[in-house]
Order: sequence, then structure tokens, then C-alpha cells
Amino acid sequence: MLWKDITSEGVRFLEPISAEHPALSAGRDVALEQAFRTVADIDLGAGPKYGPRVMARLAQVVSARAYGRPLMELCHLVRIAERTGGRYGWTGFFFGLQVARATAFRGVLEEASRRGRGLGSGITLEDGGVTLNYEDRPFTVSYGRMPFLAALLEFLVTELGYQRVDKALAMLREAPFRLDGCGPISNTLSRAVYDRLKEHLPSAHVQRVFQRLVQHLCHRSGGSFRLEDVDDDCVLAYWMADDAVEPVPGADPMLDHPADRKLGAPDDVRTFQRAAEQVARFRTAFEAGLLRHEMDRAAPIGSDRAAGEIDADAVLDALERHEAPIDPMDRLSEPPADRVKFLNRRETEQMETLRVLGAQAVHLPVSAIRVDVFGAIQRRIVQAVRNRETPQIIARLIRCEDVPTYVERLKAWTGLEQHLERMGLAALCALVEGRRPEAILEVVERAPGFDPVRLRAIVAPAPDGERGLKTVPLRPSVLSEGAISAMIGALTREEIAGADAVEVLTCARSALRGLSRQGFAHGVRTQPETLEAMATGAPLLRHVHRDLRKLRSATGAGLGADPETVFREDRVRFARRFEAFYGAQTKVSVQ
Amino acid sequence: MTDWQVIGPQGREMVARVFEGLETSGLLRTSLGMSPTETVTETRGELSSEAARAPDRPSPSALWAFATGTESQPSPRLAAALLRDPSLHLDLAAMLAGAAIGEAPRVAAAATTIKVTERVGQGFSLRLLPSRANPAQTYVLIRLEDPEQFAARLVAMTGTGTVATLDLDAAAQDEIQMLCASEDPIIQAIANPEARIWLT
Repeated sequence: MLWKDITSEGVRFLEPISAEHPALSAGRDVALEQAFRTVADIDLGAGPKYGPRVMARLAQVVSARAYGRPLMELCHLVRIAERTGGRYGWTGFFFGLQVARATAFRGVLEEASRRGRGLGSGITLEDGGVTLNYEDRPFTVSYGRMPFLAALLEFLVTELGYQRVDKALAMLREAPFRLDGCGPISNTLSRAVYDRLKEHLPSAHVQRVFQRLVQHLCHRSGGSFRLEDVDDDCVLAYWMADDAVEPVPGADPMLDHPADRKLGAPDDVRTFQRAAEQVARFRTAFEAGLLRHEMDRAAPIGSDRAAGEIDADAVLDALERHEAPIDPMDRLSEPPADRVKFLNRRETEQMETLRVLGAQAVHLPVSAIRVDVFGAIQRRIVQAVRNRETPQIIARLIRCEDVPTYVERLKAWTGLEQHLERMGLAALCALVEGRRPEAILEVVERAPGFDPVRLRAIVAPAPDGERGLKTVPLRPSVLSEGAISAMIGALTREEIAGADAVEVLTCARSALRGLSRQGFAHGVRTQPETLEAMATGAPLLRHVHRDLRKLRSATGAGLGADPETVFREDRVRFARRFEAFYGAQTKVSVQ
Repeated sequence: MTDWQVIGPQGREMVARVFEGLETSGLLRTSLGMSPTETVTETRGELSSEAARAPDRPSPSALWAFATGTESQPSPRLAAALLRDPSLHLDLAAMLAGAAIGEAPRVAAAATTIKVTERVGQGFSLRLLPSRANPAQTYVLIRLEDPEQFAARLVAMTGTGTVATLDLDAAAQDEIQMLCASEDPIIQAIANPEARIWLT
């Protein structure tokens, strides 16, 4: 593998990078991307079969090459599918569904069970999924996991071919009905997909980016650079490095506009946003490398770890950590939460910097606000150049004449935080009105002094032995609707719920008052589908609010006591850089 | 303090793998428009524009929809892909075999250029009979081994991936009779000794 040749000073490739490499690598990358798009584009007449979050998850697993565990789960699900798919078997179960949602899989399985085809001995339908009662250990596949596993299977068949996958899965019929019975089959598939994808991963493009980053850090901080060196100054210096202005090998010389030629170049870091994104990803990767080193040190001599194998699941964990702040934002914009307009397009765009930098946003806080302010203006410049706007318009953009200051942007972030808080509280109020048990969980999160155990007294006095029990069952199957309703009603009684809870609910009522967003209208907000959106959205809004608040706080600290001066200096810096990139053809000077 | 050198080759390998994973995941998401807009404009030069030019491959779900008759005709995209990619013939044939109530293989002497007028397959037999009244028309006569079976569609795929279909009427006296133009692609496909046939 090419990565093996990483040296302490940077990266040396087994073969020199030539002008031909980009084209070759592009061909290979395209094959992977195309297979991915084949899955993403499936539309059998009812909209995309796989939602964006399922595709994001698939992208992570494929990119981390961590298919082992999911393929094992998939084999267990195929066992279930074979029992329920009728004469079409697993193929009908997975490919027959128009839209792969947890509810759709649940519906198919419940219907199969009702019809008496049954799930047969050893398989049980449960609230959250389907359990295979193996003799050695039971295994449950949750309904929520099924769409991703179906997308993985679709990707697998696209890459390996139906016959090959079908042949491997057919072996499940002969395999012992045990938890470990799926092992050989999932291993066969895992090896096959690994062999197939190693033609595509890692791509020469990604290696070049990595090489440039490591060389930049070595040049800037020496061969012994540390995590602390991967900071805001590093991002700026990386973007400002001279090689970003030089022609990039592989760029299409036939493109008639110099700006287009640069933008289309394979490894282009001309946009500040892209530079910041790459450094943020490198920072997460460096953290994972440090963690790996610490674990190696802690492992006993002679253990498997010493053999040097990279654990794909550890790679996947790192990817998940990095992209964790993106997940709640994605979930707010897809069913069921999207029935309520918690965030409009402008509000979502204001949090773009969190998407770009992921979990590293708080560690690169000044870069975050630079992406927000100057990244946005650079997008407009690129668009203006592409649209062949007049030199006057482009010059105005290049000089950064209309950009908001950092202080103004921090105020806007504060406003967005307040909006997120209001939406979350309003959703809580709707949940209370709709007597949804999730209201209690929200109050638990928002009122530090609230003890939900006290609500049990409303339903039934707790036996002496259970005093101090910290779990309150809220599932309708455990508590009746009447009991849940009584508990939620008690949230407003200070003598039971406490002052903190009552105050949270007072704020929630106030947040809902006068709110004119889609989904919050009287009569709409207590409809079952809307309440499902509220129940899903309320905790997500809290997470996004928390991430944004942390970022604003870190950015404020990062900018120091005089953010206006930092902004003025940055404006000059960015304007000069934009001039270097785009000024020649538009005859714009910032002098 | 731990640094780039101290973490050693395995630590650096881990850094490279995670970075590769993040970049690849980002590029895949970008190709679907799931990532920041700016990244799209910048990286499409290598990946997405190439992919956009590359021919489409139908998804397994789309193949299955055709195999089971949810889509009675192959879409233009599927038809074009079948002509382009022989590996898809195998996939579609395997799916059709799973979904069909009867299947007839290629004629044994497939190299022959003689047109075939009879097919005997698993679960059915088929004849092509020119119309006496109108020579420009041909009857397709299908007899099912199990009269309780119901066949809704006949699918034929030639060795080059050309697919033709025929929606079938109900059987009368244990035989399905369909009258088609002799130049109809389904007649041409049935007569092609290299074509495989399925009843679904």
C-alpha cells in the first residue's frame, strides 16, 4: 500500500507523481464515486430510496474500509429476509422496497409475521427490531439500522455483481443457526469488497493532498510538529503558501478562463474553505494517530496490535467523531423532523462553517469565522468570475468591501443561538400539549434540578425498595397514556416537579407564543406526525445549539480583546490573496 | 510531548488512513451535493465531472424492478447499459431466473444462424407460428406445464443484451396465444438462438 511509505519527514511516494497521474487516478476514483452515486440515485417512483444520512453513513463505512462489522450485521438481516421475502428471498426483501426507511422495513416484517409466513422459530419481532435467538447468543437487528444495511448491500451488488453476492449469501442457508455461523460468509464478502475497493483507495488525489499538508507542517514547524502546531495560523499559512498560486499539474489547459482552470485543478486549495477543511481533517487524523500511539504503548508486548495492522473500526470511529456535529443538522432536514421548519435556508447556511470543519471547529475557531466571512465572499468572487461579471463588480468583491466584520458575525451567531433555543423550547411546549413522553426527557435535559423520579408518585407510589431509582419507564407499553399524561401534567406543579422544571415550561410557553414557523400553528403542532417531528427535533436542536455556542465562545476567545483589528488585518490579507488569484484577468488591484 | 516523529510509522499510518477516509467520505458526499457548496465547485474537476460523463450503471433495485415486472419495459437507461456492459446480462439473467416461473436457455447449437421457431424451457414450451391470414404477423403460442401457474410477461434477452418483452393475455385452453408483427423485436429475439427467455 502506498501509505506504507510515509516517512518521519513527510511522505515519499513509491512512484513520482507525474502529469499522467491525475487522469489515471481520476478514472479509478470515478468508478468508486459512480458506484456510490448509483445507490444514491435510486428512485423507484417514490423519491430517493436511501436518505442523505444513510448515504453519509455509507460514505463513511466505505471510506474507512470498515465493512467487516456491518457485513456481519447484514448477514444476520439476510437470514431474517430469507424467512420473510417469500419466494423471492432476500432479493425481494431488499430490492422490492420502494423507499428504504425503518418504518417500511418494520411494516414488511410485521406484515410477513401476520400473514403466517411467520418469522419462524428462532426469530422474534420486537419493539425496536428483530431478534435472532441463536443458541450461543441472541442478536438483534434494529429497524433503524436496516436502511443502512440495505444501502450497503446495494453498493455491494453494484461493485461485485449480483451473482457473486447471491452465491455467497446462499451459503447462509447451510450455515449453522448460530451467531458465529455468519462469520465465514461475511468474511468472504468482506475480502471480496476489500479487494475490489483497494483498486480505488487511497486515491492518488488524496495522497497528494496529504503529502502537501505534511510537507507544509514539516516546513513550518519542523519534522517533529505537534498537534498544537495544527492551528489557525497553520490554516492561514497553508492557504497563503506560494504553491497555491502556481499552476497545478493536471489542470485542463483548454479551459479558456484562468480562474476556471485553477478551480478545476485536482488538488486546488485556492479557496480558503477547502484549505481549512483539509487542515481540520488532518487534525482529526493526527488525533487518531496519537490515540493509536498511546494504545500501542499501553498494549502488552507481543499483542496483535504490535503487528501494526490498522483497525478499520478505529478509522471509522475517527470519521464519526469528526462528522458528529453534521449529523444533527442533517437529521433536522430529513423526515420526520422536516415536517417542522425549525431552520430555514439562511439559518442553515449560517452554520456552514460547522459542516466544513466538523468537530475541529472549536480547535480552529478563527478559521471558522474566516470561512464564514471570507469563504462566503470567495464563493461570490468565483461565481462572479464564472458569470463574467463586470470588472467593477469583481473588484468590489475582491477588495472585500461588503463583508460583515467579525464582531457582526459573532452577533449573528448569538442571534442564531437564540433562535435554536427558542425552537427547542417551542418544540418542548408542543410535546407537552401533545402529552408526548419525550417532553419529560427534554425537561430532564433542560432543568438541572429536576428529578423525574418524583413524577412516579403521580402514577403509583414507588415501593420502598425502589426509592432512589433513577430510571423512569416512559414507553407506552410500560405506562398507559393516562399515566404519561398525568406525569406530564405534573411538570407544571412546582411542589412535584420543582422550580427549575416549572421555569423551563414557562419559557417554553413563551417561546411558542407568536411563533409563525411551519408546523407550530395551533391545531397543526399536536397532529401525530408533527409531534413525531417535534420529538425528533427537540434533542437535535439542543445539540446544534450546544455546538454553536461552544464555537462562538471559542472564536471570541481566539480573536482576543480586539477582534476589529484582527478583522481589518484579515481583510487586507484576504483581499491581496484574492487579487493574486483573480485580479490578473479582471485587472483589479487592492492598492 | 508526543509529536509526528514519536508516534512512529504505525501512528503515521493511522493518520494517513483517517485522513484518507475523511477526504474520500467528503468527496463522495460532495458528489451527491451533500457537502458545502464551495467544495463542490472546487473538487468536481477531478471527480464529479468525470463521473457525470461516465455511462450510468443501473442499480440492483432497478434491475429487480424490471425482473419482477414492476417496470414492464426496460428503461432507456437500462437498455443502453445492457448493450454496453456484458456483466449486467449475467446479473439480470440471475434476477430473472429468481423471479420467473419458467426459463428457456439458449438453443444448443447457438452458433447456428437459423431462426428458431420452438423453445422448450423449464416450466413451459413456446412456438412461433406465422399467421396464415397475414404473413406479416406471427403467433406466439405458450403452453405452461402447470396450468395453475399464471404468466404475465415474456422476457427475451439476446447475447448482445438486447431485451424485448411481451405482456401476455390469460391462457385459453391451457395455451397463451399472442399475435405480433413478425418484425416485432420480441419475435426477432425469440427466433434468435442465442436469446434466453423467461416467463414472469
